[in-house]
Amino acid sequence: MWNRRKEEEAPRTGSPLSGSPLPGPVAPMEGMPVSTTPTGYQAARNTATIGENVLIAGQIFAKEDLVIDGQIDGTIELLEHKVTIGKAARVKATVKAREVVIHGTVHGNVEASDKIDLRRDAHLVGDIRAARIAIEDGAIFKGSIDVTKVEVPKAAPRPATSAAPTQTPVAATNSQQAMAAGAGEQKR
Amino acid sequence: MSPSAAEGTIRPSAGLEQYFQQLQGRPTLRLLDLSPVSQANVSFLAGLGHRLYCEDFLSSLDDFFGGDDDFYQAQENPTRAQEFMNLTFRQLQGPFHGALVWDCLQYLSPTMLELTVTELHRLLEPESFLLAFFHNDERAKSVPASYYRIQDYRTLSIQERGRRTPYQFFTNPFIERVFRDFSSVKMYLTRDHLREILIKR
Repeated sequence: MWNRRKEEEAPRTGSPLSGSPLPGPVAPMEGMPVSTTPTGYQAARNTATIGENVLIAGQIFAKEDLVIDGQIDGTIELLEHKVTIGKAARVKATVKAREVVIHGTVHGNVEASDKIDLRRDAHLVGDIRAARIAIEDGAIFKGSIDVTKVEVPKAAPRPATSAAPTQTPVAATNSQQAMAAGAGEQKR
Repeated sequence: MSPSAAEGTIRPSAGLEQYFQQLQGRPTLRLLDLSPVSQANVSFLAGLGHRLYCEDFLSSLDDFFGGDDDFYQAQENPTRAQEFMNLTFRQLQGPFHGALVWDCLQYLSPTMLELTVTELHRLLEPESFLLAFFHNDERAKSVPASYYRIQDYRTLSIQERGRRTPYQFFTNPFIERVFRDFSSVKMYLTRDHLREILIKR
């Protein structure tokens, strides 16, 4: 009975987003250029993943949820979505999202229009600002906490035609909704 | 005192009560909390409309000077002590309208104690208050370092985070000497060998 239920819940496609605990490389899948390692953060179908062995320097914008297990140096903006920063992640960036869940290490300011969730393994150095903040015992935090309603501007609609051919997608997904651009120098 | 397995010891705190009386009617203050970040303190202080700055001072000390036998000896190195001060306090954008120092000052060597109190004096706005705790069991070789979580205006949850050996025992006259640059020092005795000190900048 229990086994049958688990089988029913198991994803049928064998996608790397299925949360398989097995470590190691995963065969590249079409439309998922930055996901190299499966993640254990229950990534859903409409969630982009930046794998453990991926390093991105630049700006990341996404129009869907994002799980980060790699190394990011720059800015992360998911104004209407949730970003999960995994245990293995090393993020040196300003993070703006609807919801931010941190399991790993972040150096930079974090702003959420809804909620910031610091889990027990989180190590955050930076100022945080959100309407709601949840902190698990064991989380390490250094910075200021501002619990306030954050007005996040809605993401500007992108033109249908490819107006920016120089941009390099770094967090695209199957549905190609995610947008990422501008790997390059960051402004601090 | 009423013990609670999950939350440590819960007890009233006269120092905390007085501290919050001073903040009463002053919303959106900037407060410095030198304990590890906790949901209880964030929820309570943010609920009052204050902005909180968290710095786990004791963990930073351990990380920088090591938690071993050379802990206090390392703190007495003036260059290292100043380096720690720069890393910990210089980046803070004061002034703060209050500070919750808890029991951190007990684990500082004389050099570090002097530097830390000077920094707190610099960071705090005139007329603001600082709450610090000192164990008053003179004979104890080690004392419990604790997490202090605010339950309400006058109640604290105190949970041990390990035992430590203070560098020195803090008598009342010594505490007054340490905070000689501040305008007043009030002391509250408790039943659990933990003196609560409310210091006015």
